[in-house]
Amino acid sequence: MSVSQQERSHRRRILFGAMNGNATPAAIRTAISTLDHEFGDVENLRFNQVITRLQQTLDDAEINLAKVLGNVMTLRGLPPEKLGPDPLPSPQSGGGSGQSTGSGNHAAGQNPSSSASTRRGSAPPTGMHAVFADMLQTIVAQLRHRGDGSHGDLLTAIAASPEVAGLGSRVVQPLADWAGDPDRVQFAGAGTDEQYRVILHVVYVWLCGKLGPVQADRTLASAVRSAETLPEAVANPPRRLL
Amino acid sequence: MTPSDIQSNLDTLWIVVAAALVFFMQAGFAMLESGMVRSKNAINVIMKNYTDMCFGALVFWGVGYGLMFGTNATGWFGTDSFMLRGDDGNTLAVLFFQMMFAATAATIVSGALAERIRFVPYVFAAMVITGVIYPVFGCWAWNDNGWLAQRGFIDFAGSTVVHSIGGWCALAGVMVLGPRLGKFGEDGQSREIGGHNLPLVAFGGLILWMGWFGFNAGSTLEANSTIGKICLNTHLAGAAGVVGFLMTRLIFGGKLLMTQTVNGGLAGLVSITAGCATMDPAMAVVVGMAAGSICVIAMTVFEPLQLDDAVGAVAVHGVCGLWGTLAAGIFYSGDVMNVARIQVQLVGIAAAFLWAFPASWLTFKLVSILVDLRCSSMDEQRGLDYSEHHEVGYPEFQAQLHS
Repeated sequence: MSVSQQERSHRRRILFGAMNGNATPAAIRTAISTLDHEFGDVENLRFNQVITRLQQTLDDAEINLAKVLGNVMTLRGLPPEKLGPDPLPSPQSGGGSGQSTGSGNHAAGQNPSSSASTRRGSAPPTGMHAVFADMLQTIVAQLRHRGDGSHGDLLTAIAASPEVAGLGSRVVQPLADWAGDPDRVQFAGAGTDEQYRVILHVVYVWLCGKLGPVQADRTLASAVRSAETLPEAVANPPRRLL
Repeated sequence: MTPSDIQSNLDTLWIVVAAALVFFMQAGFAMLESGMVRSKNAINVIMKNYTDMCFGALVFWGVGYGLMFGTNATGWFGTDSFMLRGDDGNTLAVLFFQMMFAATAATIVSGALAERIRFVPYVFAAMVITGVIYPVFGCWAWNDNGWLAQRGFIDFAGSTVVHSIGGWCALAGVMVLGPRLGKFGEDGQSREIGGHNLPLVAFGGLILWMGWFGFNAGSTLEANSTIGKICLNTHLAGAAGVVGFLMTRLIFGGKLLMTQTVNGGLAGLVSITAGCATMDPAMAVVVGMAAGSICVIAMTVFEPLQLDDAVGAVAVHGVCGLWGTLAAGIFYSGDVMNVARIQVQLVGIAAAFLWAFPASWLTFKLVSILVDLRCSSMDEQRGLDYSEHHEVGYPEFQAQLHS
């Protein structure tokens, strides 16, 4: 007897909701994929097993496991209508969208299949823009895990940076929109690689000052690793932005 | 062949073997320094070690040796023996040996300035150090007619001549360059920037230790029985340096870091370099153990001053070289605590600082005015392996960097 598509979707909604804001985009993609492929046929699923598996595969910097576990316990008790959306489009409705958990056109806290309904802004970024957006989101998500408001400080620092201000409206305005509400606003910039390089450098310098050079290197490396999981990264290597 | 010829040949052979040991210290420095920096700067550190030795060899042969050991009528610098040639094997062997010493002085500077100094300006500064700054002081202390040598200054193998000079040049470079990006927080607190390969640091430390036997015992410039005592003193002081460091940490608290333990050993070795031939073994232990503690104290003092010395070179070579030179006067075998000798040692120590620090500060400052001495913050982000050499040390992690 196999697990129904409806039950699988329910599990994904619980896990996605639990990880939302507590893990990097790459970690969320990995987790959803792990849930589907390794635990998809398990009839009496215990989420503890999933969390233990994630503990083995993900770095501490990528996921706040304690919070995720707590959230899972809470969300499991909720009726299905109280849960958020399924991060994967169902075979019936999402087959032609071209998006999947691996598409990368989403960020932490964002349901990739529902970006049009929950995110303001234009179409999701593509190519290097998507890679850049993912890197920024990953960095912000990591800072958010610290719980000291430093992600807000970073966004303020980016907005106040003279280097960024000089990059032109095609980058600055979308960046300002995104920085104002990174959870809900899609980054819709159309910058060049050089412009994105400048922004990431401003971020790196800020990270060095705030966290020290070792943590700054780790954070940037983690953003690169996350972006490298995007299909767009094949043609647009994230390291080109460093 | 007369007994005198045999002795002369043995002397030459010993000098060459000792020079080879000192040359091998370059490998130790390269390992120790590259292991102590982040992986993105490892190649840059190796390149600096490799090239300062090569440029330094040519400059020292061309200019430095003449300044240091040439005919010295004034007591301040030599005026001949530039680009030395001829058939006197022993003299050429001494030049070969001293060439390795000059390279060591420059290499000390390399580690302190790691991760932010640009390559070409560094090489230029290293040439000034090996070609002028080091040999001029060397002339004062080691040329028979040098004004310090005439006063009886004791620095048998170079606690001051090599190590303190290198340390003070490093201090000047550190001050001109400024700290690495993010090394000190907004509150001034120092942040640990760990090395990427600590086993390499330990291995480098051991190679340096081995090279030190050539460094100190080779300074006899002749094959005689004193090399036994010198090697014993050298080893005892190095071992005592490690013990002194660990005891200081255990008594006053703090982490027992392997990297600093290696530095403790080096501190002991640096400190015995001046008096290795003129001290009793028991005194070598005292000097080395004290150096292990002094090294900890010096590093603790430098941090609040926001002096970012990437490998602790100023504390290990500068300060412990100072201590070793003073100790050579204090613990002189058979004439301990001779005030007149101690005064001469203090004059030599002060002269070394007053010469090397301003001269190297001026050198670094002039270079920084003429060209960019310090790399850009973007280059610091990318790492100097890529920005200076376009060759990364660990390509499996940085494969796209060349695109």
